[in-house]
Amino acid sequence: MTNIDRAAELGIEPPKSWADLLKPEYKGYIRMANPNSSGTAYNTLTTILDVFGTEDKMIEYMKKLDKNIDQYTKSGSAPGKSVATGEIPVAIGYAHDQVKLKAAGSPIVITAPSEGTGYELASMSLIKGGPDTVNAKKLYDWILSSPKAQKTFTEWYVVLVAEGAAKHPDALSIDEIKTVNQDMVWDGDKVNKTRLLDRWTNEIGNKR
Amino acid sequence: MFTKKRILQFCTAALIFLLADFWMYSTLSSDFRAYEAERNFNEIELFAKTVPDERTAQDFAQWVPTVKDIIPGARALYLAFDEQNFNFIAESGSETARALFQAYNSTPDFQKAMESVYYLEPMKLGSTYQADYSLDPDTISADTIRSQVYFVPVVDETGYQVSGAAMILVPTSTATGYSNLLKTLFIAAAVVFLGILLVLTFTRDPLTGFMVLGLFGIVIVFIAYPLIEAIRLSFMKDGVFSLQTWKESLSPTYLVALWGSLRLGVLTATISTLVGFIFAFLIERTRFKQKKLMTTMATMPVISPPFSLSLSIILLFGNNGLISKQLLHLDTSIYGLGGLTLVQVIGMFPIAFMTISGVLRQIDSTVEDASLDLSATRWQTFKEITLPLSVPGILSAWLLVFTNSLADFANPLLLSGDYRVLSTEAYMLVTGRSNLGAGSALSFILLMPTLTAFLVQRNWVAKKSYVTVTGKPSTTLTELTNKPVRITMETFSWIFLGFIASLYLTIVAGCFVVNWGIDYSFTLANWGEALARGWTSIRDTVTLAAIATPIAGLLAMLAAMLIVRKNFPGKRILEMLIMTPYAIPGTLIGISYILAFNRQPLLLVGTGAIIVINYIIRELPVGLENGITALHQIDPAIEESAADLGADVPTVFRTIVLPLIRPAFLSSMSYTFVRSMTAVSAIIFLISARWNHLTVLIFNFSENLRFGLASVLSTILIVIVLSVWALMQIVVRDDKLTQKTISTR
Repeated sequence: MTNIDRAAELGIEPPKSWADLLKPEYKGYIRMANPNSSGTAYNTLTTILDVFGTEDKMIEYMKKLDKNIDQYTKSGSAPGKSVATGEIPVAIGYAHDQVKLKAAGSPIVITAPSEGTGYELASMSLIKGGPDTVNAKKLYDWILSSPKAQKTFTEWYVVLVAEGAAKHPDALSIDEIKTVNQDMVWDGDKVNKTRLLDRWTNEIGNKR
Repeated sequence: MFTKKRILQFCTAALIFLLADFWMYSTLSSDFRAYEAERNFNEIELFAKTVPDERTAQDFAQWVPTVKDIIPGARALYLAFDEQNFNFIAESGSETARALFQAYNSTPDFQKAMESVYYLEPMKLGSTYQADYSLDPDTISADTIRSQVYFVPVVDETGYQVSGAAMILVPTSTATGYSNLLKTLFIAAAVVFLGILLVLTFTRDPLTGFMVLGLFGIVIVFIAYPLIEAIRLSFMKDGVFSLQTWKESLSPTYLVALWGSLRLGVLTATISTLVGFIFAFLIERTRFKQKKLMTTMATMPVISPPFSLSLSIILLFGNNGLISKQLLHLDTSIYGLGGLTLVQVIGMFPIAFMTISGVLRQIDSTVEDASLDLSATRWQTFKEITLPLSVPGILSAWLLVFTNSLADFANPLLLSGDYRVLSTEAYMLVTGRSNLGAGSALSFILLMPTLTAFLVQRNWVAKKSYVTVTGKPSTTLTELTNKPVRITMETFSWIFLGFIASLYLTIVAGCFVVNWGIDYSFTLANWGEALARGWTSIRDTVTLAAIATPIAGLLAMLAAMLIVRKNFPGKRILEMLIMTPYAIPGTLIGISYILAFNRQPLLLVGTGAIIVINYIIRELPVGLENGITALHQIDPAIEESAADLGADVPTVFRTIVLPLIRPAFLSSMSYTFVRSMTAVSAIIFLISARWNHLTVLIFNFSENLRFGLASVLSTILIVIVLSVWALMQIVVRDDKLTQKTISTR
């Protein structure tokens, strides 16, 4: 997302693709979170991996991106908020966080990268042997079937994936964005995640 | 004390108890094992009955894995009965079980089991076997675990003939878990009983003995044990001894963070000492008028909540700050070494100020008078007399601020930007990567300079007493500065204090602003939202701090009384152990608590109890020091006469000691409350879904740039803390004791 006022002050255009982010004119103007402490940023890493294909190419991209990064925040939604206040012009983050800021009146524009972008799947989980299983199951039923519940979710600007689900007018539509093919199981596997994070930390994060 | 008769008494009683203890343990343990075996048997027989009607190979392959649903973690192998050769052949099922079967097939135990199964009797093998669970593709943990082995017959359609057998492996982890718990409990019971017996038999004053034992117990369980666990676990990786964690922690990437911490520490300490010296000199050596006011204002930053200064610096000088952006249109960033040093100096110079001030006060002015009489200039007097005499104070102050800066966690969390310090690295490793071992290893690395500075300050510098003892107390104050110099110092000090005051005012201002940096219109909405979202945190924090305060105060006084007035073996060790948390960075304490108290019998992680215990342990050193100082000023004769009149130790404590040390007691209690409310570096690891802490909430809001909410909560916290502190100032009028120890978060 880009803050159009601040970008105009600095004389830069909102980026439209992952490749755009590497341009020298954005040096020091991009903020994203640290993948070690933020799932948002880790998803960014895996998205880049899916866009470019190999881990080496991903690290190469992240190294080039690192030159334009102002700082890595600890929380995933912090960069977006910095852009909303105009502290920094460009941030990488989840769309639903950004739509919320836009709806609150910040002068921002949200762009999905043209090469394709990733996504997170928010889900509910029922824990086996929990203290109140029956009520938990009732909650499940209510969330999945009640129109009121569905509408509440849209107010958070997330995109509901159930067929026929409601959509908030300001939220991005998954039909309009190009997404990459994500293998959630592979991304979430502890071995893979540790390897990716270690590589990023050793080659980029700790070298700042 | 150790007479033959008593030793005999002790040994007899101990022996009887130990025998009874062991008998109870073995009965319970074997009974439980038998119960568990029987239950497993029942379930396995049930399992054998669920064999599919169609006895095709495919059905068997599908049926065998269902053993997991009946007994968690179990693995099964189906063996078909070969009529010709009268033995069983492994057919389908778990690879783990198959490997085990093929390895031990011909052993007498297995043979006996197979014979038993032929006769339609299920059997459990006597010994346990190591099974490699990594051979099965669906295992969660690929380990080699000791397992119990069961054989059950599978009957054919007639119900009378055996058609096959199922060999079932049950990993013994759950069973041994319970019997470990039993063992720990019974050993603990034995230790407690023996301790009590020891005290009763051998000491003349059993009550004191119990109190000492109790204190030792508390200290060992809550201070020594977590630290030892933290060290032990930093040498483990995935359950086995490994130096991997330490190798990673000592790699260049983290040494950069260590260097960052040290550099910040040196900068902060040096500047703080300088500033503190100026303030101290102004108060102690000049005819400055508003001394009380300046002293009060200068000690404010010590009790203020951890994020407040960083927050207001960001509000004023951040990338979208009021001064940096709106007024001056600067483009530089306050994040990093510069901003951190500024905030730390403001927050820690009072420590330097207090220390140097105390030292300067003790230097008798008559020495300086004499020098001036001998026609030395003021500058010469200062250079040759005052300065050298105050060197220990200056060194002390430098070391104290250095220690504090290294352990500082709250300010770097918000302001460090790209500048890396060890305290926040450990936090990120624990919360972001769930790598507790590495987090604790890094904290130990941080401990080295902290501990060194602490020990040097305590044992070397503090002992060098340059106090001048002339026998004649002097009430004169030599004016060591001429007017211009004094005016310069005054101006500097007032500007500095004015800056600090404006920082606090910014926080208050931030409460009423809609969106700092974008929309400066007035609003009260922040208050509503912050109170709605933060009310439970406020309530919980105040509750927990209020619970911890009296307990910590009483324990500290008790310990002080025992250490000052009584003699018992291990006194120095007890004192040292109680003082340990003073030297340890909060992050290390927090991490070691998570590591140590996350399993039975002391499962405290996630409860309010662990937070309260943490508060108490952190405050004991300060309380103990205060108590020892206060007690040294009381003549033991008063207590002795009470004892002569028949009072026992608790009565003496209650009626004589407590009233006399009331000022010190109250002041240390209020410091405990204040510091518990503003704790963050250890607490951030100990909070849970149920117990959130106000400071952590402030941090969350700040990080998410909800500055209005963060400001509101900070203001509330400052108000609470200030009112308690002001209350204490009114109630206790003894200056010496209230200005005693200022220390870390």
